[in-house]
Amino acid sequence: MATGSFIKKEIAEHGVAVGALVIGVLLALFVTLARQQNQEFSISPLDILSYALFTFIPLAAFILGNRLIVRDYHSKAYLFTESLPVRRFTPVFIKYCAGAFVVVGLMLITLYMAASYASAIDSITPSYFALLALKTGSLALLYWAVVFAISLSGHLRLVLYVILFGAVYYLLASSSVDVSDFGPFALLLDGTLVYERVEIPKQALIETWALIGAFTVIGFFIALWHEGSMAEVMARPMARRDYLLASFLIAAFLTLLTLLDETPSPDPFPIATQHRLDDNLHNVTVAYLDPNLKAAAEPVLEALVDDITSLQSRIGPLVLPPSYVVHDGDIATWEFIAERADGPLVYGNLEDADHYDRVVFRTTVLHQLLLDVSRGRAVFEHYHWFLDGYTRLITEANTTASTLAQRSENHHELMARALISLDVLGNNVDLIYQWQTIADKIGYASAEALAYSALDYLSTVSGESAIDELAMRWLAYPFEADSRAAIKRWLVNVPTEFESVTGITWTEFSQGWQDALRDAGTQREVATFVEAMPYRMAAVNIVNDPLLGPILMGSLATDKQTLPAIDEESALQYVRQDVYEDTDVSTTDNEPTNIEPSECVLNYTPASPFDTEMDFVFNDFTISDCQGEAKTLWEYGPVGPGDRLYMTVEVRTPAFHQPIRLHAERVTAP
Amino acid sequence: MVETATSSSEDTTPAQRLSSPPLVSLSDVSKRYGKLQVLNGLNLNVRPGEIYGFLGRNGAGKSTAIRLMMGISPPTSGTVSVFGSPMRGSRCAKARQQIGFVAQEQSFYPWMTPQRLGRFMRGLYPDWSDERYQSLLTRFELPLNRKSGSFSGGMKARLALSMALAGMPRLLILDEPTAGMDPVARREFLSLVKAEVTHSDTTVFFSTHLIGDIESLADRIGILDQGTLVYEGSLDALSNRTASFTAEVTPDTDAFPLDELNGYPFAIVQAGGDTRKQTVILRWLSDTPPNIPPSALPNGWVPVELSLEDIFVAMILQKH
Repeated sequence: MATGSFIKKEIAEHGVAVGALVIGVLLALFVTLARQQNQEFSISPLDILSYALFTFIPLAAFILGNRLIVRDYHSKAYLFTESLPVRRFTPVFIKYCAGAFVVVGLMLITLYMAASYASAIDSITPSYFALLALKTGSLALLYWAVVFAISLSGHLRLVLYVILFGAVYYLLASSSVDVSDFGPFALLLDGTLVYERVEIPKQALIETWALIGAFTVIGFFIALWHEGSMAEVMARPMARRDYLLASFLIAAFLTLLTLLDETPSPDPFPIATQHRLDDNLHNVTVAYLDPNLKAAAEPVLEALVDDITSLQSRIGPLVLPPSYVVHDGDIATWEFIAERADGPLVYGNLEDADHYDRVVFRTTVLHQLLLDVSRGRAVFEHYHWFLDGYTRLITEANTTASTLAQRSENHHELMARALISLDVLGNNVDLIYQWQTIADKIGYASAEALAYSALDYLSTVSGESAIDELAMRWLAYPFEADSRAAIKRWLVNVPTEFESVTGITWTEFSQGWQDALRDAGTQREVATFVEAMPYRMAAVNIVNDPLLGPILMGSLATDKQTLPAIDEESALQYVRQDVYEDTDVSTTDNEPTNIEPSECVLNYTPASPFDTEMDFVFNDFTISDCQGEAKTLWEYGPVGPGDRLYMTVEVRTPAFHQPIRLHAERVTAP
Repeated sequence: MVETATSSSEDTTPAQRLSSPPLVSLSDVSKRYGKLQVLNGLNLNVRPGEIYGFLGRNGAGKSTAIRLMMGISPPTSGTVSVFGSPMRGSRCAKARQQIGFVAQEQSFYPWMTPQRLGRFMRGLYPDWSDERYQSLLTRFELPLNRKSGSFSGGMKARLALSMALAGMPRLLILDEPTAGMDPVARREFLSLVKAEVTHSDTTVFFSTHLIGDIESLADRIGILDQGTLVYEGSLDALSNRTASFTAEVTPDTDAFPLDELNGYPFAIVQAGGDTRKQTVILRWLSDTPPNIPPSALPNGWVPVELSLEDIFVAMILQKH
């Protein structure tokens, strides 16, 4: 009876506000889900669960904590309730349950709506839904348990929130502490939160529930200990000593962060071979296992030193991290693996690379070097295009008399590649604000060519000095630790800064560059490259075979009457990628081999979203299959219903050193 | 040591009241908050049907004793019994269903109107009477649909009394309910309490530091000082057992005796004055207060009428 009175009281007091909150969330969900469905590169509707767990679910928990708990303590209503014929535990427990009900309920409503939308294109089985409910519900309950405990901390709650957010931010951002495998972090940050259908993350759930239990116990302890005197004292307005305590806590926390943040410098990269060439002045090392490769390694080191010297002469002295180049004979001459040790670490095939391949390799090293120097800021969306183009510009320019002819050929190949990619992209090409999307659509090799062509045009209209000035501002600006400098940097408008340095507006530049690129297509040397590309359009599709299930299909189209001669090596690469992987897994190790003169070759790399190993499958088709318009060349399947795939169609022709991506699309198997 | 007294007025109390077990009993109760000893061996009995005035200075421990009676806090040592059972664990909530409580500071849910508060309280008290609640609200001139957070102190106290009485309590505990009220509101409130409990069997435990409140209501009083009960008994008995005398200082004025007057032993509670006037307050040690004729007094001394407040102050000062 008493419990009923308290439940009715909570409903009467908070029912309208909670109702408004639920309606607001539902509206926001409708809008978000509808917008998401209309997006070109849309993600699964279930992804909104991650969004909810980062935004309105914690916000709802915070609002409820203030309404259910803080308000009662501020109005001293606890003095009234403690004299009523109920145990002290009862009203607190009802508040805890009410908050948990609303927060978890909101999460489940969100899940239900997202699952309803997703069920149109995905198979939402009861067990899959239950697994999602378990994971997201546990996280929502954890949010509430945390808010519950902190809300009972009265005037200290704001300090505790600051410390909590700071601690979580630190744990996520710190490189010295890895919490990605722990409880809620493992659930929330794992890309499979909403995509794993079978496996129950027992360890993460147990840890999450342990945290829920801990915060719940802390909350009840504060509320009930010594007849509620702790909560009562903390509910009072802050006195001078409380301000002192709060200041002390925050200062101690910041000090702790500072101490923890002193990340030790990584150890020097251990080079396991005695065969190495070093340039100590520029901090560059080239390593190889076979002593016979010394002759191949020496010009690489020499070229890299020249590149770094050239870079420093253009943008000023840099504090150079150690750069490592390691020979790997198993990868293609035009492919490189870039990693980071205590400085840039690039694996490449030093053997048999021609001039173009070598320039690509040097560009990769310089790219990684600037990335390291700028502490990662050079790949911010606004500057990334410039980094790609600038590094290529330097390595192409850094040439000798003996390679002058190759340089010219490289330039034409780059311009042709850029021109083909421009056609693939259409008219809306914004280098500053859409670079990642552009690279996604045309691949990194073509994106680099596009950026190179843009800077080539800029050098003609504004001069090389303007490009170097932009490089100093965007790629090598000094690291500013203080907040004022950070805010100042944040307020910089990139197009405005571009205009102030180059003297032309960003719009004028974009238009002028694209016009110039199309004009370049009329040059014989560039046109020759473009003509060598037989296909210009591609598409992928998934059809639902009634017997087999979803089947992937790829097709190419061409407006050419004559396709490559049958004795010419021509390969079509069809790539199926894991949508959640950053790295392009498509182009490693699947070189078309043993191609019969009368065949074109279709390669693809199937990688299901949760596979760590890749299988490579090669399908051969006769050349006649490659001819004609929009002809379906390849099919593979079935894939699992609901599988989300990022598929690209890339074409390799002997004229171009690297594959050219003609199409990219994210699709979901029906 | 607690001083107890009975009086003629108490003799008129129904026999069953005296013989029945106490409704509230505190036996050798101590309460300590950290290093602060608030109650120290408190013994106190409230009998059924009586109005018990609980008198003490601010900080004497009255509110702490009430929190113990309500079962809000447990005693550090000793036993607190209400309705014949110890106030421990789940028993507290059960006992509170029969206790009406008016606190010193009224902290209802400020967004609730009296009407909604009534609906809320109905679910908590099994004997709750809507009819009585409505009649009390009407009688106390309280608006039904105004949020209680906007009420004045006096209105809140009347609302608290309405809620306390509508639960049809066997025991009504008032913890300095008139503190902060102006004299008119205080008198009005006390008359309401008196009127409401006169014709019921409700036992009233009324804590205050205002002697006037006690005088108008209490059948029996307890005086608390520094966590210890220094007097328990009727007001009349307290008054009869205390006497005061004064004298203009002249060459003919006799010295006041130290321990006995006209054959009646006494103890000096307070003695003092200056070169012109001397005053003595004493407490008779005999069970029956003596009737001393003026002629039996030392030369120059005359009796002085004492108010209850004078007696209260004298008792506290004597203890110190």
